[in-house]
Amino acid sequence: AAESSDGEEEDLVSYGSALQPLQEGERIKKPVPLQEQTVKDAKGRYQRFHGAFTGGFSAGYFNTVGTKEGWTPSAFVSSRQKRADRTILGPEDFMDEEDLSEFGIAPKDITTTDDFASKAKDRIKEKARQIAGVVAPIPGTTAFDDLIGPSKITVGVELLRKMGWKEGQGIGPRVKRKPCRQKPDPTVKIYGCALPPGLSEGSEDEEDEYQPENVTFAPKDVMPVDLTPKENVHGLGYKGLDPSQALFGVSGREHLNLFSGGSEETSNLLGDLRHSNGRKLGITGQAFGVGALEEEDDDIYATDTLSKYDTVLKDEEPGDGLYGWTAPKQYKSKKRPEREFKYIGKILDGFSLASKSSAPSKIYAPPSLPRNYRPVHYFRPVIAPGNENCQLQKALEESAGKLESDPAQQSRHALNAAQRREQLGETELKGPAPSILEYLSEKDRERLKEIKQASEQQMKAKIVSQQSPNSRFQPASPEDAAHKWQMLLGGQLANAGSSDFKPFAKNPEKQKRYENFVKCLKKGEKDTLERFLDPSMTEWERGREKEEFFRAAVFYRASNSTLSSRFTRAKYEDDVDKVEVPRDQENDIDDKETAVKMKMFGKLTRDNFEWHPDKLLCKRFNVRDPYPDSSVVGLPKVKRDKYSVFNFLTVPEPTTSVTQATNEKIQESNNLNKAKKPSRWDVSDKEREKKDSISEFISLARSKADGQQQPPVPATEARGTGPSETLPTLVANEDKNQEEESGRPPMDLFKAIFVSSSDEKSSSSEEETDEEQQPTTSEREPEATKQVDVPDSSSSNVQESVAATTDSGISSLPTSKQELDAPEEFGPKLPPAFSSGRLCKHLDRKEKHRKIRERHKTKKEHKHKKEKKKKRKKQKNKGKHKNKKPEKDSSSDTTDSSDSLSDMDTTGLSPKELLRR
Amino acid sequence: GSIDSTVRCWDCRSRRPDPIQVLDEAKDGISSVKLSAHEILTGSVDGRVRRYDLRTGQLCSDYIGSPITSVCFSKDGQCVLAASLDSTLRLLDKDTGELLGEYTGHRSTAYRLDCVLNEQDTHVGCASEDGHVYFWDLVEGSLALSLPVGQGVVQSLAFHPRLPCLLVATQGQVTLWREDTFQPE
Repeated sequence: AAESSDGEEEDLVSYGSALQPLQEGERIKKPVPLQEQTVKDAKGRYQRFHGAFTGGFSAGYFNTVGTKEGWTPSAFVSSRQKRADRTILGPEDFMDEEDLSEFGIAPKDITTTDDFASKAKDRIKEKARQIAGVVAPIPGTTAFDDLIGPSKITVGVELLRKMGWKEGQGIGPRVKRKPCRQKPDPTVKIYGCALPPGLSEGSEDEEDEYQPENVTFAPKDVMPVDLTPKENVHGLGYKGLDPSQALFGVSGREHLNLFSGGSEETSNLLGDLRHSNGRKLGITGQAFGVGALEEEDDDIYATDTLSKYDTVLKDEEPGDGLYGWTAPKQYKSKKRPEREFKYIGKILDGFSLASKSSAPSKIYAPPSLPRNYRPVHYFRPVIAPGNENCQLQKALEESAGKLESDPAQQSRHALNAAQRREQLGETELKGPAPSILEYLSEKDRERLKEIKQASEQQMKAKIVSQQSPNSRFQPASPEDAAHKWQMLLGGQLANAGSSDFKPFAKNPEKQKRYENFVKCLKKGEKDTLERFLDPSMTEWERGREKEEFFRAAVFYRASNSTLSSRFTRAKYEDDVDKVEVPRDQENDIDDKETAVKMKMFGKLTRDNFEWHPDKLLCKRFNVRDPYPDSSVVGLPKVKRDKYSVFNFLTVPEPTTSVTQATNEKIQESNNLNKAKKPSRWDVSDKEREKKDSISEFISLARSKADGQQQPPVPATEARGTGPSETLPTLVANEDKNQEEESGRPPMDLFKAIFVSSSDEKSSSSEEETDEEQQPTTSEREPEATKQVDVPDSSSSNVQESVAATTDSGISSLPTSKQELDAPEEFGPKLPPAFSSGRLCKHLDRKEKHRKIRERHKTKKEHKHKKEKKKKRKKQKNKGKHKNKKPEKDSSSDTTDSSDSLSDMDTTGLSPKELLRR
Repeated sequence: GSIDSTVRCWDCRSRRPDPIQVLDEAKDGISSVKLSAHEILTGSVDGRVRRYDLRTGQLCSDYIGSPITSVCFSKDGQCVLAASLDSTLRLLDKDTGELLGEYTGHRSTAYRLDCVLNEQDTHVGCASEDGHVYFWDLVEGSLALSLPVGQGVVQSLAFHPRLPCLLVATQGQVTLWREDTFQPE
């Protein structure tokens, strides 16, 4: 429009600058398309925008800052060497130059600082802030708001200013005079430098005097009402330590302002009121120290400190400010009753102050405590005086100080530590009951050793007494034992059974029994020893417990208690008298070895245990946890009694008796083996026969069987001879042992037990030899070999008899196993609460019965057995792999057919006939 | 398996250095450890073959007597082959522990020698101290092959799980044996 016409140039108003006139032949510049418009910084570098919302651009070269290489990390400089010139980096050090430019985030142009920008502060705001500062949870924190928030002059303030308002004035029409004069607080003493609040008005008022009448004043500034709710738990009207007072002593009694000469800024920050009127009052404060011209020299270093505040609720002394911790003496020593209670506050209408104070209530002094009183209560067990344990009671009374022991009676040196402690009034150190051997002196140990030896003899004596068949499993008679122990213990028992030795503390009943027992023992009542033992226990248990008591009594010595007081009781009770052992243990390998020699792998050599795999292990094996509920890992453990008499004894393993027992088992199992497995695995037996007496016997039987089917040397007789030969010698031994009461190894006990138990059986079998047993054993072998030779023989009764014989072998197998187990129960590994004696005898009898029954009973029994056998075979065959059992095909089907046949055949046949078949 | 009579199971997935379970039932050093899908089979110098069944949570301990040198499962997982220092290999039924076969003829008295089953469970093999590898017919128990592989003790023996292929280590030599008809490519 500007170039439209030259003629109208004057009339037109031109906006903007004219475009350059196009030169000849020049093409009109195309506008740069939007996508090609780029933003470049001052150095021509592209700036890439990052997004609509962030609006930022990348810093430096591809999001790195500065150079093409990006950040240049500063090399590490040890601050140890260069500590002095360590520079403090400000935010500017991390900024680009663009940031510091006019349009950057931190422009470096000249701006008005706060000091100059808002000379006049918002007074109302300031006051509100002051109030808030007092009310705030941390008093004075709002003072720091100034550091952060910029002070701005709002539009309202600006408007007010234009209307003639000045800071410090109230808003409203000007008034003639102040409606009321604010008097300074009379309690506040004003000494000097700092202007107390309200003084500004006061000074105005004072100036007021000189003003002419027609001068009006702006209305007084109104403090905004504090509407902040009370959120804290302070008392009503409580004010925290005012920082302006506490730090600078602006007002109040201690008014010393250390920073009065300081910078204006700090005063500003803390809302100092000195500048309220924009002028100084010309009062200079004290610096450190008193000037020569100053008169006042008291309390120059005093500041308002927390120690001057009451931390304890108490009655305030009325009056003149001479109270508190700096109060003079006469104030403090003033007696309470004499002090006049004076009501200081306003008195309500209709009430008047009482002229006479009410009579003070009489206060009785508390009773004076005895000099040696200690405010600690001990719980002491109450013991009935009629009880037998007067020793215990006496000890308790002694410790309680009831029973004053006569000092004249005992010499000083005769006192033990406990008595001295008692006389000195020291508390008893609570130690554990003395655990035994560790505390003993050398001499005592020797004595113990002797006792142990003696006790071993005692045990042997007991063993000897057990050899008599009737009282086999009973301990030595109580009289004997008691007498022996009495002799052994001698005077040592005098100390035993005192209160602080409780070997069976965990079992109170047992402990009680023990105490009674010891007391009895001391008195020498041998016959009554037994009656303290638990009558419900078995004979064996009672014997064992008695033994335990004896030992416990021996181990105790009174002086140990003093030693034990040096140790403290364990905080967490651990079972000291229990041992953690695997619940199942791989049992004795003796019989296993024999079984291995006979190639009797399987049940005899196998131990099955419950075993808990780790959860994670199951997971890794991808197997479900078999025991999802149990936390046990590995073999489950059980706790066993450690404090057992048998722990003190070492008894050799009953090996020979085992072989005796395994003898039959092996023989029978060999038959079984042969019947079942007529394979080449037996070939190597021939070599072993020479070494083994057992197999020798078997080979004998076999050779006989091979030679002819006549009845050979009866196997049972051969079997029976062993025990029967040993029997008389044993009987002789018994007599001898009972006289000696010592010297014989405990082996004999086992031998006696086992031999005699099998002896009973063998004698019973001897009775029956003429009936069936003899032919049975004799024919067993030939039949078996026959079967081996002619496996496909059509005679099913052969098979049947084989089945029967093997069956008997099997059925007697468990019994022999039981016999095997039974002896072990008398050995040292016996679990504590097992009444083995009865059980074993019972077992023996039962076995005998069973044997007899087996032999005498007829078809029914046989049938039953056969069924069992069938089951067994089936079980076995199930587990087998086909190609591994060559004999399976031949044996299994024949047995099946024979079984079906035998059911019919057996009816009406005597067992003898059956076996013959 | 360790000479300290423990078998330790580590978790390879975690970086924990300590084992997740220690099987410390053996009374003497472990000479051989084999795994099946859910079992851990160990042979120990204390003369026992222990089989930890994770699925049923049972430990079956079979007493052999002589120190076990090597154990292995049959391919069908029904049997356990155990070589012991009495120069005997024993084939045991896994479930009952019964003896299914016994193989002798080789010499194994001092060294820890390996025993193997071939890829079809038809033969049982064992290294020997006389420089041979012996193979027995599994069912018959008869010696099928005595393969001379060296002069000294055959220290290690491994059979291919699927092919008739035997790897033998003796006196610093490792030799690979194939069947006669084998044509190397």
